[in-house]
Amino acid sequence: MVPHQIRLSLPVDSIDRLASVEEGEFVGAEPAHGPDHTDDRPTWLRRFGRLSRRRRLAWGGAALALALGSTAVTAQATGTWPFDKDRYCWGAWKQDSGPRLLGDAVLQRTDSERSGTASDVPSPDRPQGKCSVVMTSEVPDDHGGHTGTGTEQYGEEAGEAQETLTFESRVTVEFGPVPRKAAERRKWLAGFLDASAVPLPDGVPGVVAGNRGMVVLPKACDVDGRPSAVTLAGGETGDGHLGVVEMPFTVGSRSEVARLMLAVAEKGMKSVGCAPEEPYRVTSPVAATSGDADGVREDFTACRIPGQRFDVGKFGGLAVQRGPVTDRMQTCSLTLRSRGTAPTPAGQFVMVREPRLVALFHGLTGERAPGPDWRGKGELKAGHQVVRADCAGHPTVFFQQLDETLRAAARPSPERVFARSANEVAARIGCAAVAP
Amino acid sequence: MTDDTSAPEPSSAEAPVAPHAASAAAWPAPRPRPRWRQWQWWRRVLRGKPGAVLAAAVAGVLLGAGTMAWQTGAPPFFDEDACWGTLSEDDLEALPLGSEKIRAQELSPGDGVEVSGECRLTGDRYGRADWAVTFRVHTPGGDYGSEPNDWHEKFLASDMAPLGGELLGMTSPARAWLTLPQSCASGSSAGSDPPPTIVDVDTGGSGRYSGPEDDEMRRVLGRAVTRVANGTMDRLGCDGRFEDPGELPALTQAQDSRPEALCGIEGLNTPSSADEQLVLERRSGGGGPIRSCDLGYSDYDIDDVHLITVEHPGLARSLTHAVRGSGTRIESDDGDGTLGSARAAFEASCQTGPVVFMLSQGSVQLKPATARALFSEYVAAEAKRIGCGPLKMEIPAIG
Repeated sequence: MVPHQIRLSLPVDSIDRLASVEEGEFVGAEPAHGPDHTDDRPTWLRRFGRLSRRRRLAWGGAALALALGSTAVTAQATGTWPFDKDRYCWGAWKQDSGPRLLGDAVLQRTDSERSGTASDVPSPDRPQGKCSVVMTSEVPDDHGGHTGTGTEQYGEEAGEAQETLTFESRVTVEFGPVPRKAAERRKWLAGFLDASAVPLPDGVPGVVAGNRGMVVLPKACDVDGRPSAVTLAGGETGDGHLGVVEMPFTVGSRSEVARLMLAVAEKGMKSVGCAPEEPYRVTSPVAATSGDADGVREDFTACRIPGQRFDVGKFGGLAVQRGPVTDRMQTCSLTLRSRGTAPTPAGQFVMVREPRLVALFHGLTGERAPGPDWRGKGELKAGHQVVRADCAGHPTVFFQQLDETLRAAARPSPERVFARSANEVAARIGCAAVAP
Repeated sequence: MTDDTSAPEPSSAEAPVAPHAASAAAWPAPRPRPRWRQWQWWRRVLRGKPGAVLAAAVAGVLLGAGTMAWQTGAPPFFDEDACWGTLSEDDLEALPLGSEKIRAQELSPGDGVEVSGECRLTGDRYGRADWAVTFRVHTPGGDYGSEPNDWHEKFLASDMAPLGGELLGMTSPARAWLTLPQSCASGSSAGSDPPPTIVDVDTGGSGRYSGPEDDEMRRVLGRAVTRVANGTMDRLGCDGRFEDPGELPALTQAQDSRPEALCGIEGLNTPSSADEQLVLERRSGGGGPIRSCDLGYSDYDIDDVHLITVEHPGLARSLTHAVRGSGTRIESDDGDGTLGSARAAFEASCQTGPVVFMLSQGSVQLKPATARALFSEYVAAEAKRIGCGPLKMEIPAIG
C-alpha cells in the first residue's frame, strides 16, 4: 500500500496563516489551498478573503447599511415604511390592513387626507365610546361654476371660475349599551336592523351590510339589563357645484366590515373587562341575500309577507328592501328615497329568534299581552307594535314600526297588518299563531 | 483535477481480525474532507467579473422566485396538490380510487370569464383504470340549456343529507355538493336570487348502501368538496373559508310506505286512478332547505317517483328550465308551472323567495291523471308545511 501523499504548494505570504488551519476546519473565506494547485478562486472573493477580520466586518457592515438604506428609500417612496403605520379606534384598526378606506392606494388621490378621532377608550366605569375615521379629498370640478355654490378659487366670473369638488367619507363606530328610551331605541333599530344587512356567520350575533353593521356583545357586557353593541356606519358626501350631496358609499366587503366591527368589539370588551373567553371570530364567508330595494306604488304587499299590505296611491319615492328570511330572523324595510340624501327609514317589520337579538328588545315589550287573545307580551300602538312570545321553544320577538305615510296606507290598519304578518311568519317558522 | 483520497482496500488474502487497529497503526486518521472542496465547481464558474455578475443574477432569480412564491403561497419548485392545490395526499387516499398512482386531469376555475372548472381523478380501483372521481365547479341551470338537466335529480336525491352549519350543501355516499357564496361567483348574477355556483363531486356510485363504510364515504366526500370549495375561493380571491362539516344526520334507508301518508306527508296517498301502489320509499334526512323523497312500486326499487321541494331561492331559480319546460301549463295565481310526461314542476312565491316543487318519474310512468293528482296533493301539503299556503293550482286535463 502506498501512503497517500499530500503535497502542498503555498504562496510564501500565507505560511503564517496556515498554522491556524486545524484538521477539517473551514476558516471562512481564508485561502484554503488545494494539494496540487494554486488558489484560483475569483479575484474578488480572493481579495475579500485576504482582508483582516476587522476589515471584513467593515465591508460587511457597509453592505448591510446599504441594504437597509435602500429599503428605507423604497419604503419612503411607496409610503410603506413598516414602523410607521397609523392606527385608529384605540389601536383596533391598522393603516393598510385591508379595507379600502384604511388603505394607502386611496391616499394617492390629489389632496387626500385621512384622520381619526376617538373618545376615551371604554372602561369599566364608562363602558362606552365612539371613534371615527374621516377621509377628505379635493378634486378639480370639471363641470364649471354656473351655479356658483361650490368652492371657487378665482373670482366670480362664471366662465373662468375653477371649482373643486370636496369629498368626505367617514366611518363611525360606537361601542356601548343600546339606547334606554323606547323612542330612541326604535330609531336605533330602524337604522341597524335594516333589511339591507345580512346575518353574520359562525354564531356571531349581528348583521352586516356594505356601509353598516351591528354586533351584539355577550351578556357579560350588559348595562342595566340592556345589551351592549358595536355599531358601524359609513357615508360619503360630495360638496361641489350642486351643494352637499350624500353619495352611495361602501366601506368594504361584508367580510371586511365584519372584521372592522369585531376588532373594535374585542378592544372595547377587553378594556371594559367583559371580554368572553372565546373571542368573536368570523371565518366563514358572509352569505348575501338577494338584490336591491325595489320602488313601490299603489297597492302592494311588502317583502312577500302576506299581511304587509299598503296602498300608497300615487306617492312615489318609497322603496322596499327584503332582508334575510331564516329560522332565526326575518327583516323587511321600507325607505323614503330622494336624490342627494341618504334613504330615510319609513317603516320596518322584524322577527328575531336569536337570543342576543331578542335581547335588543329588552324593556320594549312590557309585562302584559298586547291585546285580548294575543299570545305573549307586548304592546300595540299606532306607530309601533311589538310582541314577544314563545315559538317552538324559543322566545321570539315580532316588531313593526311605521311612519305617518305608512300608517295611513296600511290596509286594513297598522295593528291588523302587524297581526296578520306576525301570524304568517310564525307559520313559516313552525310555531303557533300569536295574534287572534 | 480532482483529489483522490480513498485508501486502497485490503486484499482479500489478508482478512485482518481488527481492521481499524491495523490501519490506525499504519496511517494517520484520514482528514475529513475540507469543505472548501465544494468550491471547485463554483470557482470555475465564478471566476472574474462575469462570475460576479452570474452570482448576482442567480441570487436575484432565487430571491425573486422566493418572493413570488411567498406572495402566491405556492412554492414554485414543488408540484401543487391535486385539483388546483386543494386535495392533499391524505385527501386523495380517502377517495375511492384504489391504491396505485392517481392521475388528475384539471381545468382550474378562474382561467376564463365564467367561474367553471373540472378535476377528473382516475385510479385503478378494482383493477379498472377508468374508475373516476370528478370534481366540478359550475352553475347548474345558470345558462339556460347549456347543461344536461339532470343535476337536480342526481344531487338532490333522497340519499342526500345537509352538511350543516354555514355550509349550504349536501352529501351522500356517492356524491356531494356545496354552493359558493354569491359574492364569489362570477359577475353574471342577473336579477335577484341568481342560481348559485356549485362545487360538486361524483364518484359514479349507485345509490344502494349497506354499511358503515358508506357512512364514512359521506364524510370523506363532504370534506373533499369543502376543501375544493375553499381552494376555489382562494384562487378566485374571495373572502372567507368554510369549516369542515360537523356531525351528519343518520344515513336514511328505504322503508315501507304508509299508503295514506306517502313520504310521511299526511293526506298524500297514491291516487285511486293509479295502476299500482307505491310501496317503498326513502326520505332525505336532517331538515334544511331541500327535502326529497324517492318512491318505488316494488319492494326492491325506489327509482319510480321522485318528489323534491327546493326552498333555497337560488337553487329554485336554477330549476327554471323545469318550471318552464315543455308540457301542459299549470295555472295559478300563486305561481307558475308545467306538467310534462316525465316531470312536473311548480314555482311558488313564498316568504323566502321562489320555491320549486318537483315530481319526476323513472321509466315506468304514472298515468297523466295520476301524476296530476299526486303532484297537486304534494304541492298543497308541502306549501302548508313551509308556511306558503294555501296554494291553489289548476292543472288542466291533457287531451
